[in-house]
Amino acid sequence: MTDTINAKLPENKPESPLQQTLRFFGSMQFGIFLLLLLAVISAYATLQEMEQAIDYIYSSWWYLSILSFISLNLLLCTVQRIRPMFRLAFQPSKSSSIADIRNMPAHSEVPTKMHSDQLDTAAQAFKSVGLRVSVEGAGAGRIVFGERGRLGYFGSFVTHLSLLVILLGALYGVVTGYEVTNGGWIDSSFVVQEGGFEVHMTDIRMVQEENPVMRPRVYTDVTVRRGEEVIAQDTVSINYPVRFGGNTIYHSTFLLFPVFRLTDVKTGESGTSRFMEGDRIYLDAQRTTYINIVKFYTNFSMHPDGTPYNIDYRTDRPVVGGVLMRGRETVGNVLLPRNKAQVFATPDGDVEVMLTGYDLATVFSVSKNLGRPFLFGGSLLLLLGLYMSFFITPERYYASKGENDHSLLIGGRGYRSRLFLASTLQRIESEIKRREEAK
Amino acid sequence: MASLIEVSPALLLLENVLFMGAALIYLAATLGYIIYVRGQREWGSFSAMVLKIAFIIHTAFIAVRGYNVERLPFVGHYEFGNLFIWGTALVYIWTEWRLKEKFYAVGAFITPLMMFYFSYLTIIPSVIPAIVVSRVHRPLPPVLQSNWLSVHVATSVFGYAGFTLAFAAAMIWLIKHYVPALGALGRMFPTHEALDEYIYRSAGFGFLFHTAMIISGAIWADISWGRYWGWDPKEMWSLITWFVFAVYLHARFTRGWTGKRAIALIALGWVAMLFTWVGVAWLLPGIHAFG
Ligand code: HEM
Repeated sequence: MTDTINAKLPENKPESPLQQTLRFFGSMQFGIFLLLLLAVISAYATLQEMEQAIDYIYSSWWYLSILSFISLNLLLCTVQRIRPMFRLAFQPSKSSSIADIRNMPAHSEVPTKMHSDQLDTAAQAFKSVGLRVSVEGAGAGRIVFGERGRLGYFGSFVTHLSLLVILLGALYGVVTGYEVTNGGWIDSSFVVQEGGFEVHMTDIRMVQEENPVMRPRVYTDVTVRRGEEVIAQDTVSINYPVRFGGNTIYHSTFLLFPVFRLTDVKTGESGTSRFMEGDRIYLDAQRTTYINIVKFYTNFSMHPDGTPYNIDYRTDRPVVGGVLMRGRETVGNVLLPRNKAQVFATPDGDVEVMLTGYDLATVFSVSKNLGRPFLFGGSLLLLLGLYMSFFITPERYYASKGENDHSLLIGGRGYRSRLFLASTLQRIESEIKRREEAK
Repeated sequence: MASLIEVSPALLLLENVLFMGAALIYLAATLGYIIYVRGQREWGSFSAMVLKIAFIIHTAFIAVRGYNVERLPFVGHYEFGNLFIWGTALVYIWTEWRLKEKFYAVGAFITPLMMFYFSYLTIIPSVIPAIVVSRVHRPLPPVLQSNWLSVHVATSVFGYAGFTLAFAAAMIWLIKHYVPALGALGRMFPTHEALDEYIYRSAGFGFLFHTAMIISGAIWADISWGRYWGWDPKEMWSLITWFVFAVYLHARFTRGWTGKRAIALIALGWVAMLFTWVGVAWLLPGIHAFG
């Protein structure tokens, strides 16, 4: 590692306090500190409940401050290193003395015949291994210079810039966007205040997978209106969202709501309602007698010991499992299969309860994220930057006549790399020998 | 639940035989490299050949597994663990081909790590009952049915492979550093400088793919769920791993942070990576528990 990018300042001039501050905030040490801090805090956060971590850590002012400092750090480091980087890439020290070459991480001396065009041989050998070649200096100090992988000098610059684009894109998305969860069953609507539109579900279909133990797919036809105007109309399903004007509606999950008919046995009055798991079906006016809905089995069966279970996602045998309560007292478990009426005694008289069917509801995640193009572009740039950093390695090679005119001195150095220098140098060496022998 | 895809007994047998065969031949390569590194130079190219044979059989295993599950075998701890070992072998074989016998010593450290990963698929679950590495043939649940799954898994495999390689070389670096009088062993090890760069390159390789894994995961999550980042523990730990390796890549440039401290960061990064792979699944709750 002989070359490095340093944000060099004009020499002999003391830095002003502002310059010193900016240099600190753009320094790699500060960056390392921030990254370590973020790693430690994030590791701690994952030990908490996820919701807790989101509410109290990831969205806290201090976590966001660390991210802001990282952005500042990246911005300053990117800007401060532009000039030195260009200098390093485009103004290489092309002349080197014999002593310099002997000090290079990879170097060797190739014996040659004595003639005047040794350096031409070196230049041809450099070219044959794919280097861009130029001859520098004049007279005895003439040097052949060859290099490749210049793009590699810009790797970290592109990487840092891309990270900045990603961070700012995320910020922009959060500031200008929204995310809400909402949904409903067939022929219902909900309003998304943040987007100024209403979503109507015209149809919801459940399609079983070939293998019924797989969760079925649910397709929801939605019509989106702004005022009277229809602004989107399409079908939403898992992995197939609907997009319009920067907004997106994603299928998040679906729910099945058992529907019960309750009939007053004495008067014959009846009514129908939907329930959810966890709801209570109140049977009397004082709400002292009720059924706690524990689980809705769509394809019910029982283990030999009597514990109920769901065979798969088919809806062949819908049964609701619940607990009958009277006041605080548990009366017993109840199973309510479809279309089988059961009568329960209450202080108001007997009530007949019957599961008549179920309704399908979809839950959507609706969001708008204008930061997306920046995130996507930044990500591509990030991959490019990392590729440039790690897969394009700048190498520079030098050749000069040896002290006694009977040899060529060749040496090479790399930017953060020396692993392949020796083998390239070896190839150059054998290329020179081959050409010398042909002479 | 029972085996969900019908697999004929013959194919099931083939799958299991290839798995065991690959594991055993990898073990043989491991022993060979260890003999090599103890000073028996002639064992180097032999072990390298055995490793390649194991790799070919392992490739056949993955192909048969894919045939049996009727999809790319990219899901669950068993399939992913195998891919991970396979990728590590591939990347190591590639470096061996590029750098020649000078780096056979790394083989003596990478193959035991691969055996350690194998133990997670075989021995560890039978010793620790809480860890279940299921081998059943499952179809793909709808959320996972996306081409992004392949990109996501493929890139993660090479990220993990690069980091594993960096860790293997880092161990040699440490042994060389703390045990100066190594005798025969010392002669088989590359120099500190060569190791340092080998580690750096492997970490950089892993870092590029690990980054691609995080990005492809985010794009996929955005397409399926409407959010590119969910803050769930698996995501967070892959990000933490990324932070640690980013710190390493920077620290290597900072005076006072080279040498031992940089190596310590590699070890820390490897632990974070391992935790992302297995720790999160068994110790932390989240939505990535598809295993
Ligand atoms: C937080 C503030 C950061 C600062 C101040 C910073 C600073 C630096 C500096 C000074 C270099 C060396 C430049 C060179 O000599 O080429 C560098 C290299 C690099 N940085 Fe950063 N960096 C920061 C964050 C990051 C982050 C978050 C990443 C992403 C993981 C990153 C990725 C890289 C890469 C890939 C390199 C090239 C490393 C190599 O070639 O080994 N940097 N950074």
